[in-house]
Amino acid sequence: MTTARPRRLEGVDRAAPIWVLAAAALLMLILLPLGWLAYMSVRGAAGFTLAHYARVLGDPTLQKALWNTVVLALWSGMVALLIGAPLAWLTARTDLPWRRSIQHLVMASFVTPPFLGAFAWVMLAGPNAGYLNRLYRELTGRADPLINIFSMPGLIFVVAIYTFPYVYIMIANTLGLIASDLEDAASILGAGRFQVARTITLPMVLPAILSGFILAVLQALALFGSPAILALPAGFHTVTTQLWSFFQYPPRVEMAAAFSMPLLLATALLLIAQKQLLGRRGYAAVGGKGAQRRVIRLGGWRYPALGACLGVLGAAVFLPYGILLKAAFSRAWAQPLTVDNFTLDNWSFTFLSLTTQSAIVNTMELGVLTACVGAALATMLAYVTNRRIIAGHQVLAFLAVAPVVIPGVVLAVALFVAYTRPPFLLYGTLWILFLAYLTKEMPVGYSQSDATLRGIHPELEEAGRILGAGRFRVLREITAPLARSGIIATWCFVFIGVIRELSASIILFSPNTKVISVVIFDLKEEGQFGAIAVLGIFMLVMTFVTVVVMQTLLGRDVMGGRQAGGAA
Amino acid sequence: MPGITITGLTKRFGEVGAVVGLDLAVRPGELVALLGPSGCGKTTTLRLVAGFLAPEAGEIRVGDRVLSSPALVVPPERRRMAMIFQSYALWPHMTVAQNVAYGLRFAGVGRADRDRRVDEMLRAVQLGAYGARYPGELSGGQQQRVAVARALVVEPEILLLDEPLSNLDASLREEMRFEIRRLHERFAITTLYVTHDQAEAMVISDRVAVLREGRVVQIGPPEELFEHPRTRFVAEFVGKTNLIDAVADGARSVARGDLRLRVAADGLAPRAPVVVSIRPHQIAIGPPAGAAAAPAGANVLAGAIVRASYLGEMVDYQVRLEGSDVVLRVTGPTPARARPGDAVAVTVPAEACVLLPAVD
Repeated sequence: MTTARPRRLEGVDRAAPIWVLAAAALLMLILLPLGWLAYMSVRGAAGFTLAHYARVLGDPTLQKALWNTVVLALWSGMVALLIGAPLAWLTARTDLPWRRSIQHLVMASFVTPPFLGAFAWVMLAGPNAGYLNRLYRELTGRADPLINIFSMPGLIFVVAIYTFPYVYIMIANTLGLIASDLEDAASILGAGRFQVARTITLPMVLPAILSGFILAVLQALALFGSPAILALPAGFHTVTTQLWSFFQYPPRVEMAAAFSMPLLLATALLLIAQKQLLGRRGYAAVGGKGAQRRVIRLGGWRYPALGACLGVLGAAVFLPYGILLKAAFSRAWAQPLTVDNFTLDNWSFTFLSLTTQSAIVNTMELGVLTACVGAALATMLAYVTNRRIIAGHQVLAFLAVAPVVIPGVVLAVALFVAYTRPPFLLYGTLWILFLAYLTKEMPVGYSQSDATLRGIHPELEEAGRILGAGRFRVLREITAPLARSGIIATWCFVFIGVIRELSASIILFSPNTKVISVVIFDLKEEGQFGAIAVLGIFMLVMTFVTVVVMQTLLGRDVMGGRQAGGAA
Repeated sequence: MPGITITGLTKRFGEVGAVVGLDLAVRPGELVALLGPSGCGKTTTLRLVAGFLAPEAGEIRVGDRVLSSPALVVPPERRRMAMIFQSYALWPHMTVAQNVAYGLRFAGVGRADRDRRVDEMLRAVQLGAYGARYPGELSGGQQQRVAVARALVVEPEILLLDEPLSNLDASLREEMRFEIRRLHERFAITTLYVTHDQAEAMVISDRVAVLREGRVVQIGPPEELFEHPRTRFVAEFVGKTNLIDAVADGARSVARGDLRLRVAADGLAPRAPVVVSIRPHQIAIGPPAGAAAAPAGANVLAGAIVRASYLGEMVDYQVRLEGSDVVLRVTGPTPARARPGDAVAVTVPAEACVLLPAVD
């Protein structure tokens, strides 16, 4: 045994610099761009000015874009609620057939990049060549299309079928927590079935319903891809597409900065409202170990309900995936897939293209780099906040999830402003994309790491310390092995988020730093649907492989636990 | 084998003082229980001793080594202590043997020696065949014994236990009390034991320190605490008791309305407010006519049974005293001899009436 003579140095935590560094990195990651964004929006030739705000808010075209965004977001939220709530109830509480499969398919819709879904629906329901419209014309002999996807209702539809999973997850999780005995307690006191639903079940699920709705609205507000693909050809703008167009030549950065603010404000307010809703009624009261949940028999409604579910999933998954597959293997995607029309040229054309190759390499580099740095940073931050190591740890927890309110396009504007000037000249490099992804994925990464570390009782570390292991040794030999699978899950979440990112990339890329999503977006301009389909499938396969790896490693359904993430 | 000396220890969380000027001396080789209700500061005290928390004032010494003071806190890993946690804190990714061997790696013990000591210790806690298992494969009681083995194998100078039995079921808990006491007698390590269970504290400890609002209000062997509590709080917390607010009306007697009691004291100041504590099992209960058999000097009081609860090995009576608002709890033998409404006489020896200050 060593003789431990107390010295002053022994009281110093040698790991402190690491925690402080992680905290500083987070502060810089978030505050620097947002600070610049705010500054830029009020900077005039002669100092402070509100002229940019006056211009963007006074311009009728921009007012129209704002209004379109409001319409899009509220309607999408409502449609998502109408789809997600019944689906959640059906899979969580009834004897609907194929419940597990339906859950998995909802998750498939959840991880599908919305812009890919939008492309698929262009191929399905474009007014002229759209597959469904051609089918309709052939069957009825009429000349006008059945559906025109290039319209506000079309856009709302496509956005809603990829945002309803947010509502679904919120409600399904809550329903899963309400034990049947709470409902039985009401029945035994004389409440009828309908009264139980109205007075017990619904009020308990209501916060989840509302907050699911808000999450869906948030997603719709922040989306760039779907409006860019569907609204621009239809001749209207939303806020996100408008922000993007400010960056077309000549760039008007001050206008973009000022126009970002209403969107940022709206998302921030919505998120605060959602937290309030969830915070007020204790979800803890909903819990309870070994709670029994009775399955509600649908009787004759079983198969009609299944049909409705399959209809929704058909629109979100089967039809889009089908048309993407068909387009990937066809010479002419609009023609039937016959032997003559079958080809592998799309694949060779796509993967032999130098642009695509470099985009794949860029995407992979960024995905791996961001996932590694993101998982490490998120884990360190979650450790600091969970173990309350440094003063102000609550602020760190807040900042780590704050980027949830920053739409990708707005984040891109902010990063563009912050990193096109000394000392950080990053525009035109992969580093600015890296910073964008790291910031955007921080909330998801942090939440995942936080859950992981919450599961590791501090006493496990203390038991090591008291037996003679120092802070670093305990981290290495006890904390790290226990957190390993959780950290891998964080890595996967970040990786999936990065490889599908479009809305920030579309503003921050340069000719040498294109990523897959940007290439897909460019291919649209050239009408290369075959190549779009190939790259889209490639992206989906990478995503699903990552999900499967993650679920195998963790041995549980990880996607089900995820509640909020960034929009693609 | 050093003891622990704590002087003026203070630790606040925000505005709340968890530990306020706490003094405590644990003699070498002694087992002292820190007993108190939740929020009394007992766990905070233990964590201060372990070095997981830094004090704001006061100091903690082991032998003549200062381990904690506001100016310096020796980190936990340099304290040569071991601790058994409420959650057991067994590392789920290590086998039982690896868990137990962990601390020996830092004690300069060679590999061969290490294996031998782990083996011996596992046999001492009756887990000789379980070294290769993982903690998740053991029952709660077995996990508890692994935690004990992991702490004892390093031959610590000081052993700390934080409510180690609170996760066990009642019968196992009772068995483990004797087990811990047996291990203490075998290894004689200076030990601090935190619990909120007074029966547990009394079975296990050499001395019990009762904590309240961050201070030690009384410390002593279990018998002393039980028989001579110094405050109302201690009397109520350690065992069941009847507390009667009264005033002195003679050198050796007190009164409450028409009720007069001879008590085990003399030289009481007249009209001084006091509290009398009477343990239920020291009161005898009998038919009204049986009063004549009472020893001289005992209080014989008439009353009526309000409630009689049959508990198997005894009967818990509530007796309303005649001409008084006092309801006494009395423990009687089984089978039950009186039923609600029956008139009875209760006999309270003067020495069973312990006087306490009216205010804590």
